[in-house]
Order: sequence, then C-alpha cells, then structure tokens
Amino acid sequence: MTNLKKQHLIKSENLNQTHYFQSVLQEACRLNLLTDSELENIQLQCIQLLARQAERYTGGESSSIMEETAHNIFQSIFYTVGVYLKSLPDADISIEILKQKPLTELYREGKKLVETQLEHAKQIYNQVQDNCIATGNHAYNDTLQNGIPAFFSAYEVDYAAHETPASIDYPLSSDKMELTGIEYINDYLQKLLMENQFCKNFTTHDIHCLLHGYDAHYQDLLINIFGVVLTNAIGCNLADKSARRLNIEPIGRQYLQQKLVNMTKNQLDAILHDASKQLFEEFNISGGLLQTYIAAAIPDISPRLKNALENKRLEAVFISLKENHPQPAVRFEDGRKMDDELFRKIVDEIRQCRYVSDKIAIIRREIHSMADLVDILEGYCLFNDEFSQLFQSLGDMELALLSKRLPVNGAASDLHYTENEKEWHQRLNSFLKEMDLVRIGAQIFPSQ
Amino acid sequence: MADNTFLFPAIIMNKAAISTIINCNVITLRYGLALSSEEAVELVETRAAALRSNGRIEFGAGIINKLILKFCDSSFLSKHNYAEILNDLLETFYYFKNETLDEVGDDELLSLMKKYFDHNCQGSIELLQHRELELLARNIRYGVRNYTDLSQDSEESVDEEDHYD
Repeated sequence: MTNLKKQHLIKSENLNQTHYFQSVLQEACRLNLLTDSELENIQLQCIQLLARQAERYTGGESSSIMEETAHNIFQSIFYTVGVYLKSLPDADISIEILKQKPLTELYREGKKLVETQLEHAKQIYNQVQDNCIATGNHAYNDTLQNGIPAFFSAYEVDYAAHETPASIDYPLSSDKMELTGIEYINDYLQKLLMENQFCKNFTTHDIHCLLHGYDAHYQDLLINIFGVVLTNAIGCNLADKSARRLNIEPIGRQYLQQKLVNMTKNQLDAILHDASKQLFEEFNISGGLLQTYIAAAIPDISPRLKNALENKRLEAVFISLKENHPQPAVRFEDGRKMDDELFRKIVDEIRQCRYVSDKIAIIRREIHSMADLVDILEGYCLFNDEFSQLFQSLGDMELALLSKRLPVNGAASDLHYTENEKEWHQRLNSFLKEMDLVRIGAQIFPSQ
Repeated sequence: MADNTFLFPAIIMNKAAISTIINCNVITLRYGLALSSEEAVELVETRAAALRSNGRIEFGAGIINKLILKFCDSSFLSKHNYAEILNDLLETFYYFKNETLDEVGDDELLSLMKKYFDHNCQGSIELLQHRELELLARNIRYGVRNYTDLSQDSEESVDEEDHYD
C-alpha cells in the first residue's frame, strides 16, 4: 500500500520538454481540462504579452515588427512561461495556475527563474573550469574556452530566452538535446562537472595514454573522454585489477573474453552495474547524482561490450594504454637575409676570386640564410664543377633544405624556371645522385 | 499553436481600427476630407494585405490614424484622391519599414514621408516610392550618418556601394 502513487491527469511523458507550455495546453485541451473560453483567454493574454514585449523591443517607436522577430519573441515568452510551469510539482497544477493567475505573472516568475538559472550556470562554469581535464582534445578545450563563454555574452533573457547561442561541439556521455536555452546550458554544465570530477580520480598522463590508445589522433575526434575512462575503469574492475591505472593489458582482455563471452545481455548489465558499484567504493563516490549518471552510462557500454565479445574484438572496448613518444621534429630557423648593397659587394668579391676554395670560404663566412645562398647559386658566381665543390662543402641540413627547393616533377615544370635556376637544380640533382646513398637515406631525408 | 493565436484577435482589432478611422473624420473635415465606412474598411483591408505581403505584425492602434492625421493637411490631397492616396501611403509605409531595416521609428518615417511628399515629390506617390524613400533606405543600409539628407546622398552612397562590390 505504501507504493501507491498519485495518478495525474496529464502524463509527464506526453509533454514535450522543448515546447513545454504549448504541450501542456495541448494535453489540457485533449483531455478537456480547459474549456474553449479558458483557452481563448490564455491565447489573448499571450497576444497582450507579445504586444507588450514587442513594444519594449522597439522602444515604443514602432507599432509593427517583422514576423520573424515576433515569432522569436513569442517563442521566448512560451519558453519563459514553460520554465515556470516546469518548476511546479506536476502538470495538473500547471493547468490550475494557468486558469487562476494572469499570464504576465507566470511570465514574470519564469523570467526570475531563467535569471537565477543563468547565475547558477555561471557559477557551475567557474567550477567546471577549475576542475577541467588537461587534455589535447580540441572539441573539449574549444567548447570550454570559447563555446560556453559565447553563450553568456549572447544570451537574451527578454527576447530570445529559448535560443542557445553557443557553439558546443564536445559530446557528453548522456546529453539532453531536447532542452534549449539556459536549461540546456545548465544541464550540460552540471553533467560536464560530474564527468570532470570522475576523471579527476585518474592522472592526466594516464588519461592521455588511454585516449592515445583509443586513437592516435584523439585530439581531433568528437569523443566523450568520461565515457572512455569509465569503460576502462569498469573493465579493470571486471579483470580483478585496480581501476586507478586504467590499463587493460592483452592478457586481461583474454581473461575478460573467457569470463564474459557466454553471458546474456541481462547478465552483462548486472555485472557491469556491480563493477560500477565497486568503482563507487574504490573512488569514494558518494554523490547520488554522479552515481546515477554513471549508472545511466552502463546501457551504452553493455551492447558495445556484447558486440565486441561476439566478434572477439574486445580491444575496441577495453583499451590498453599507449605511451606517446613524440617524433623528433626538425625545426629550421633561417638566418636574416642581407640587404641588397652588402649582397652585391659579396657577389662582386666572389666573382673576382680565381680559386673555388676562396669562393667557398667567402660563402661560408658571409652567407647566413638560405635565400641568400640560393641567390648566390643563381647569381653567376659559380661555374661548372664549382657547384659540386660547393655542395660538397655544405652540411647535410643545408643540402636537405636546398633539395627541397628542387622542382618535384622535373622537366614538366621547366617553363617556370630561369636558366640560372635550372642550372643549379641540374647540378644539385646530379650531385645528389652521385652521393653516398647511406648519407642520403639516413641523414638528408630521414622521413623517407 | 503560434499561428492560431495570431489569428484570434484580428476581428476585434479590425473593428477597433475602423471606428478609429471614422473618428479621425472629425479632424480631417476641417480640410474637406472624410472617409466613408466602406473606405475605412478598404483601408483596414489594405493594412492587413500590406502587413502580410511585407511579413510584418502590428499591435495596438497601429499607424492608420497617425497616417491620416499627418497627411490630412497636405495641399496635394483632395476629396477625390484622399482614400486612394491613403491606401498607397499605407502600403508604402510598411514596405519601407522593412527596407529601412526597422532603424527608423514610425513617427520619424511618417514625418519624412510627409516632408518628401509635400516638397520633393510634389504629391507624387511614384516619386516618393521610387526616388526619395529608396534613397533614404539606401542611406540607412549603407550607414550614412545624415541619412535624411537626400541631396548629397547619391555620390557618397554609390561610392560605398562600389566599395562593397
């Protein structure tokens, strides 16, 4: 008898969360809870409220507004009244309130709630920032640093309360997309805060290695970090290991494959729920909201796990951490290009030299940028074999940089080069061909 | 839902507008101008059509009575063309509310229309629509500071147009 629940005339599952006020009215009409005259009265009040808001919008200077603007203001009014109605215990009470109280009062109450939620969202945003995960994932960082702040500066409580002027790319584990405006942002931030709090139980390095194991280019992916972390933490528990390191080795996966492969979906659900409860104990998760949120993520994991077990591809669900060894990157900083007058002097000096060794000595002493070196090569300073002798004297890095300036498709691009350019291209090409192959492979073109 | 609610008060609003128009006759009769109830109905219908075709919604008393009182002392109105010109002016008004991007208030636009109609256009609706108000709208769209001054407009705004091209 204690389990008896009050029966409502308007079922909450029949109500649309996006257009709450309208759906309450529709349901009330369908169930004959509102007479025609009562509905007309509410509609008339809506028009009066729209007229008042439109007058405020134009500053009293215009008696007419564009339809799009009116539609937006109307939606904003509906949304604001809807926010108030949602704050009531149930939809049956909403109908009574709508009959008894003037709509302007409901709108005023709704606006107060929207403003309170806005302030609340700003506070949560600060907490989210304090708790954020240090990750290279662009969607996460961009949403947090640019997407959400844009909302706070662009949100209009009076005329566009229903809009969500934010660029939110980062997907949550469970996102209530049917909400809009401040309700959506509030919900998003609250969930993001919980996800961050959970991820704070693991080191930044482990999360990074886990995501790197998930995909080498995880920075560019639209993935939910919490989801990946939670799945592996549960996997660790299932493999009878501590979840704190997050790592699941191939041998652990073999063990899990044997342990779970014959389980039905219900058994898998149950074992995943048990494992998540172990997580609550291991990480001292006492907040009911976070527990519920984690429990809500289990139904997403279970079919993926079942599928992976059937296909013997458990590595797609339970991931091994992968250390990220950064590729040694070569960074070249060119020297400053000399001014024209000095360059002309040096060119003249080189041209006057009788021996190539003198030319090379001057070049090595005076030329400090690739642009100048190329100008020398094209400036009638060197002739015939002198080119190869100069190339011989250059270091691997200089040769590699010069070779990058060679035309890629040989004769096809001949038309685009001057005779002087073509000459040093040819000389360098034949020089590289005669060069020690080991030197070319290992030092000049390490990437190949 | 939203569309239904818009439709509802139209009948009440039209009745109110017709009686307001007829009441204006008391003042306009001083200039020998008056609208019959059929002409008042026609004016209200013109308003509805103009609002619809220009994608606008009007609240409250609207601007018909303001338009009548603003133009009734124009020397270019007579009892022969009064109703016809009022209809044209009403259509023009809503069209240029959109064209001026709602930057100009009702009263200011009516005053400018009256000024151009009486002086620059010498009572010609065509000139008002296609020359003066077009220039005004263009000045506003291109952000000309002194947008009501149509005399110096042409060169300046054309330059800006070229600039945007």
